[in-house]
Amino acid sequence: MEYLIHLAILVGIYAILALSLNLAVGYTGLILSKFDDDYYALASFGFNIIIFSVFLNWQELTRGPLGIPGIHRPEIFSFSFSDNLSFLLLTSVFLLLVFLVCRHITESSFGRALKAIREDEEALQIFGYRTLNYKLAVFVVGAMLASVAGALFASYITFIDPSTFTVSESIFILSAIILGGLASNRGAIIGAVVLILLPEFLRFVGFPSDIAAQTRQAVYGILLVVLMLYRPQGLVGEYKL
Amino acid sequence: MEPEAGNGNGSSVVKTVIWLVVLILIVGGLVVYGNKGGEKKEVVKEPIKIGVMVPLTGDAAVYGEPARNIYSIAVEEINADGGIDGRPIELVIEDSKCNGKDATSAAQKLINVDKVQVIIGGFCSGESIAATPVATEAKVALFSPGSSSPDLTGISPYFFRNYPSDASQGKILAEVAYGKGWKTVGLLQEQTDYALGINKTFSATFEALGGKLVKEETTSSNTDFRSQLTKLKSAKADAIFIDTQTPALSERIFKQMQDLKWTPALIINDATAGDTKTIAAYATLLEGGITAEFGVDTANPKFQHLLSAYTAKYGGTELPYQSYGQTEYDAVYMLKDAIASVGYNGEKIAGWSRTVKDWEGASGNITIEASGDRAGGHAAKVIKGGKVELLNS
Repeated sequence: MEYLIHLAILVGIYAILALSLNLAVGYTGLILSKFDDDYYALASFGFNIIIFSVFLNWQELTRGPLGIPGIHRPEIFSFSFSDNLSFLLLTSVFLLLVFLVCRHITESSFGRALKAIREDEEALQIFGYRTLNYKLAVFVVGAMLASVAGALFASYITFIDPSTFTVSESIFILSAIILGGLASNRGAIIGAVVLILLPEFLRFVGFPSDIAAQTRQAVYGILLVVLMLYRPQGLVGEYKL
Repeated sequence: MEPEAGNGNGSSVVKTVIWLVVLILIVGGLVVYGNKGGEKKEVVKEPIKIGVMVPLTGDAAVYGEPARNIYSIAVEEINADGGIDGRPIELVIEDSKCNGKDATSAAQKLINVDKVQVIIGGFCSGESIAATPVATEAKVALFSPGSSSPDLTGISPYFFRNYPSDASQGKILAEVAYGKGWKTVGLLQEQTDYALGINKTFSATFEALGGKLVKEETTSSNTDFRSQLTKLKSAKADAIFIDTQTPALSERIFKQMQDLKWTPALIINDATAGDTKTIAAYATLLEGGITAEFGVDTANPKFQHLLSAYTAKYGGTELPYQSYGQTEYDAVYMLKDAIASVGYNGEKIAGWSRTVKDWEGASGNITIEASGDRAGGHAAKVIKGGKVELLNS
């Protein structure tokens, strides 16, 4: 039971991350107008690496590669979310809030403008929209929502170090929204559920113990490839990559 | 318009997802059921389960693979010898991938699904730090044979380790260096938790003694150290402390020191000192250099036995990362003694760990302090003629 609660908390945290990334990637498609499609990806990965070295070097703040241990669970007044069940509740509340915020944004006129930017940015500019502002706004909102996930993650795991924030972690979240379906809030959540639970279920498949861990990774990869082959638009998404 | 289309599309997909989950549950259930059936037939006495967390995939798998092999060797030996009071040991191995998230998942699974009372692991310090709260809450003992971060000292009454903290190494090095009359030491440190941990205690001890430090940092992937070396050279330090995580990096630094024709007195940590090839290759440069090693004692019969057993079982390969191998091997045997004397109970095993004194194992005499740390561990050494020797006086 505790194990399931643990998994549910992780799913919640990653669903918040996926939702916020989906806002930025799924809806606007792209970053600042000076960048084109390909450069967008390169620039954001570059940024990821820059931030990683900041974490590594700003030792007064992050303690560098030693990481920050012993992060406490959040407290409200005198109530502490110290047991996992109450923490799951907290995570669920935040997930719901984030989901509502995302849905509100994407279904508002602002969200429609974002979708239009994704489809044809120039056309929208001709109509007099300042597309750069739209994109910046949604990026900031996305980053803000992602920070909620970060705060929950740090206080749940109680330890973070720079290696928690490598490029592979970003790719993991990106795969979650691609698997769930780009530009779909429900898709982002479903993607996070599948990507977190699948490898955990694979712990129980009973591979021979000598190769269990490697087989688990391989099967996980194969399942993802198969899913993308048969549903290139993601589980509930509308758009193919 | 869009939401409607999405709904129609979505419900069929939701069905598919549900079917997928159901399928996984059925397959998983069958496997679990099948395993249970098998156990009843084969094993008369219920095995004692020991959880294991090691990084088996990812960059740290190079350490995790031999660790898992050593655990199985030790368990096979114990089981062949009658197990613990006639009950065999069964290892439940989970991949913790050298990060906090997967370590907590693995610990949760071991504790709540497999109901283990004791876990050997984690290997990386990040794994142990993240898994300790989980183990503490469940009153399960967490026994790490590889984590060396000073942050783990006294972290929980349920955590203990038989691998010494990096703090002990930094302290010894600083004392020896200052005792040699080196008042100014230049420091070239790799940016990893291990190297930084050593550096922190080294710096604190050395400055408390009255020494002066000049510090330069480098990333693990760096290949050109000329600018750092030139800076250190101009600082006119009495000695240079090369504080790296892997011998490969030290080797690159030594090579460039030779190119610069600069031969200062050197201090190196055990990561480099443990690599006999590097020490031999740069014998003249390193002559008279000091180091502190939690070294392997090749004269120890238990260690020799581990080496030959590993080579015999794993097709002629020599045991890699021997300083970890010895503590991993000891960990299983220590738990055997613990369970035999206090029973299979996490709280009691953790309590037992604090009473360990001069336990003789492959890694020498083990004494666990009240903080859960291994006492002593590192010994000051000196490099002479391409070999690492104990420092006398």
